[in-house]
Parts: sequence; C-alpha cells; structure tokens
Amino acid sequence: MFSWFANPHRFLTLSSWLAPICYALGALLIAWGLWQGLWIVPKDEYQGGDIMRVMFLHVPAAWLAMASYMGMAVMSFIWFIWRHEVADIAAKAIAPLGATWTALCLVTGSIWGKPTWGTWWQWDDARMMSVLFMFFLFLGYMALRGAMDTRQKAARAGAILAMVGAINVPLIKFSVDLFTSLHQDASVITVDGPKMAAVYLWPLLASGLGHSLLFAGLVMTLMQAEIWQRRAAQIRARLIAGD
Amino acid sequence: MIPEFDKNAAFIWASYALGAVMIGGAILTVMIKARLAQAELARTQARTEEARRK
Repeated sequence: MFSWFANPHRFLTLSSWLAPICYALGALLIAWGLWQGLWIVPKDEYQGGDIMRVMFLHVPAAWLAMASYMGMAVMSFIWFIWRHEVADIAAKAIAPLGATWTALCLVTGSIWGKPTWGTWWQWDDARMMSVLFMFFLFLGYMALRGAMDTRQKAARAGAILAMVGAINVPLIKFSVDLFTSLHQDASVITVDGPKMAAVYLWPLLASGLGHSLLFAGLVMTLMQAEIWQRRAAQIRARLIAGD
Repeated sequence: MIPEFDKNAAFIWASYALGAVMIGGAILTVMIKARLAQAELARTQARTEEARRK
C-alpha cells in the first residue's frame, strides 16, 4: 500500500482533487465550530465563564499539534524503513505546519491561563513544558534538515530526530495524570468516554475535524510544491550535464 | 452582530485574532510557495524545450 502512495505522479494526481475538498470541508467545519463556540453555546460558569470559548481554538490546536508530530514521526519511520521519497516529503511538509499549530496551542493556552490560573506561564508545569518541548522539536527538525548538505543526509537526520522525539507525545497526553499540573484533566479522549456536555462536545469535534482537514490540505499543497521543486532541480541538473 | 462576553472578552478576542493571523499566515505562505514552485517548474521545462529545439 505504501508503495502505491509513494509514487510522486500518483500523489500529484490524487492531491490535485483531494486538497481542494479538504480546504472546502475544513473551512465549513471551522466556520460552524466558530459560530457555535462564539455565538450559540452558553457560557460555562464552572470553567470560568466566557473564557472557556477559547477552547474551540485551543483544543483543536492541541490535538493537531500532537497528531502532526505523530504524523511526522510515522512518515519518517516509513522513509527510514522503505526509503519512500514521498514519505520524506510528507514529513518535511508537516514540520512547519505542526510548529504553527503547536505555537497556536501554546499562545491560546497562555491567554486562557491568565484569567483562569492567574498566570500566563508556569515553568514547572509538565503539560506546558512538554508542549513547549514539542515546539522546539519541530524547530529543531527543520534546522537539522537545513544544516545538512545533501537531501539524503537531511532526510536521515530528520527521521531519527522525529522518531526519537515521538516519545514526547504520550508524555504530553498523560502529563496531567502523571504529574501535578495547573492544566485540567482530559475531558474528551478518556477511557470512560467524553466527560463534556454534548452542547460543547459537537462544536469542539467539528472544529477539530475542520482544523485537521485544513491541515491535511496544506500538507498536500506543500508536498506538491516540494515535488515540483525537485523536478525542476532534476531538469536543471540534466540540462547542465548536457543530457 | 458581535457577541457580548463577560469581563474576559479581551482574552477571547485576542486568542481568535492571533489564531486568524497564524492560520491565515500559514495558508498564505503555503499558497505562495506552491505558486512559486509551479512557476519555477514551468520556466525550467520551457527552457529545456527551447534548448532541445536549438
């Protein structure tokens, strides 16, 4: 199956129609989630009143930050084992977008934290620090790739960092259970099912799916750009060689 | 119609404004990068064709 998807030409054909669908559906779901989150759902006094409305941006950003890192690690693993170039292109494309959504998670979490906890940031909080560490892993991945002089070396070094760093993702998820944290416990993805009222849960899930589709569309477009750049470089190399 | 929030309205609007800037910025950057890559490939292919004809 991986080999079927690993063909760049097949990927370009598939993504040319799949990416616009992801953009359209993602925009619709995000818009619906926003409308529900800002206009429709009642404020929750237990969660600090209206400030809980930040949840409809912060939680999808947090889910996507973790999912994108896992995606980057899985793509790196596929490249590492089977040497499929499209997997490496995917990992490379995920990194800057994953960093963006992780930064969004950190910033919105900090803004939510100020009125709720009375502080923008807590340096000894396991959840905050593990997410910050993941942000630095994304940046480190991009810097490491950029520092290598060949594409193969960049892919290899990046893949090793992405795979090793994946251990941080379960640590983020369980940090609120394992350590003392200002952050509230998980309320959606739990063993006993969601603890959240349906009126908040559905807009949150819609928003989460919308962000995921938008992210997938952006990754596909970045991958297309990388494939086009590599093709142009190959043609130039052939021209120089006089082939 | 803009919704009215309690005393924390500024924090809510700041979050969503930053979200719009960051996500909008990411979309814009990706689209520009894709356009440039596509144009670069088209230019290179045109140059190859020209070289072949000569």
